[in-house]
Amino acid sequence: MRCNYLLLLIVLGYACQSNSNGNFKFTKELLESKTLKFPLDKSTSNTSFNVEAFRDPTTNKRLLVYLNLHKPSIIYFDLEKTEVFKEVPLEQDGPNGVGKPSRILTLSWDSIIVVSSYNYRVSIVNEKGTLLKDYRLLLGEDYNENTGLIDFTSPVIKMDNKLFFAISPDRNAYSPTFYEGYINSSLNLTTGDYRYFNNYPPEFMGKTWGVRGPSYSLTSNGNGDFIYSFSISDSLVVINVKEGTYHRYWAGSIFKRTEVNSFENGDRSRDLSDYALGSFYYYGIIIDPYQHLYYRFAWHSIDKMDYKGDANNIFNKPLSIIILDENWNVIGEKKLQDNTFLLYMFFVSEEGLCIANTNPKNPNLEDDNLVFTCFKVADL
Amino acid sequence: MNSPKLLIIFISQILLGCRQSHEYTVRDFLESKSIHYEKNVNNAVIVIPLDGCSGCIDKSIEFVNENMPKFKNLYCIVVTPSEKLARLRLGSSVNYPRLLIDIEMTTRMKYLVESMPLIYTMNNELITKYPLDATNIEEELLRLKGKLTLWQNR
Repeated sequence: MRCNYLLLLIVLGYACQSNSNGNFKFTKELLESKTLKFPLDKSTSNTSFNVEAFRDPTTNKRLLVYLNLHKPSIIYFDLEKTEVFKEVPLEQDGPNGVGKPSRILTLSWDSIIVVSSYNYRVSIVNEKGTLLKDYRLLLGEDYNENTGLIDFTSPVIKMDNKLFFAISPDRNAYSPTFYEGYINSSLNLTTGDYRYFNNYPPEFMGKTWGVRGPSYSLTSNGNGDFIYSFSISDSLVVINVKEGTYHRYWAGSIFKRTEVNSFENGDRSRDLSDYALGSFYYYGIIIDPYQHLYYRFAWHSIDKMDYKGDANNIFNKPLSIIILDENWNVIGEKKLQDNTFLLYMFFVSEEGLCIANTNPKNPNLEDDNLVFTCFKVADL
Repeated sequence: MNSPKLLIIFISQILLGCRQSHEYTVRDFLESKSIHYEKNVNNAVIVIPLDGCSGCIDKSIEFVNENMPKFKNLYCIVVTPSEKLARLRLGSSVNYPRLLIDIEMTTRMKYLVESMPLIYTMNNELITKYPLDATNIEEELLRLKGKLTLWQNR
């Protein structure tokens, strides 16, 4: 009898601990709401760095912008009918050449911004793919150690007559000086003036964090706030570029058990197979304007090998989504199904937060379909 | 029979077993796919995971497309669960008999490759690994081309 009583106490104690989530008081959860499946033709693969929701100003249709790197072209899928609505062909060379495309921002059918990180170019094309204007970000000897490659995974932000980019310093990520490089750039569409600004937060400085450490994500809320999610930082950095203010808001994960150790003197050949697997990184940040929320991706640590003794790799790392309200309070966190989702392919629309099921480890991967699972927030 | 003796025998059997266990090599992978190559000459294998560092992947693919037709000692393993993606990325090079698409991603599970492309050179039992990254890829690919030219002309 005494044993049973003791067992009951242990179970109750454990249950209370699990529900309390330490000091976290969650009020919201993410629930699967919908699956979107878009058919792909023979020349379109199911992975792309650029997926973004867009509302057609002419027809008011809700669209998914998908950059097909292989043709190349921009495919606009109808989000309701889940079929191709429009495809804009792109040329890499020649009179309409835009370079190798890496990021798209659709302003209107006469003004589609095409970024080529590879070629240091920003081009404006129309819906026929005709080149209307071209900005060369680097010319001749302009290349220098502050040069930044425009990041593939964060959106291009337009504010007034300027485009803002998330960039990655174009220098050796294993050098402690890497994090002194700039992380943003702006292009004045009127004058063509191109400038670098902003740096990594102080916790990165003087150390190295492996080849995955530099990756960060940026989103904007339309009020002048740039919201940054850095890989090793529990807090978000919020910079208002109009007012020049800088704030940090704690937005950590309940799954983070230990701080990330720096990569000092680490064996580079074991970075991805060891250090990056064992490190807890944060990644994407995106605003949900429909539900007045932010979602932040957390990329958990994992052992080097699975239970069969086979090597794990970065795509085996578990993912969770931290939910924040518009006042930067963490109000929930959802762990996603393992080996299913690709952490850099996601968008927000009226369907909710939609994440691509195209993790290379997904046993149900479909070559000829682009599949997203959409999640909506509900009260706990 | 006392139990410490049994334990010692048991542990030594395990240790012996571990020592004798064979490390999976790129050669094992090629042979499992019935790829025939001359064992007593120099060969090179470039392994390209399509989901890794995009700049390194592009440069490796460019190298394969350019050099696969020229050098019969060059082999390539493309690591991706999607044959379609391999075809889109490599074009007609996927039809070379010396190019394998590792759809099961065995090379990755068996620790032969991570997220960056790499080169293996093989001669008989000697296998040497050259990891590639953004800082060394151009230099290493150029060096490989030099080796392939030398081997071809012998």
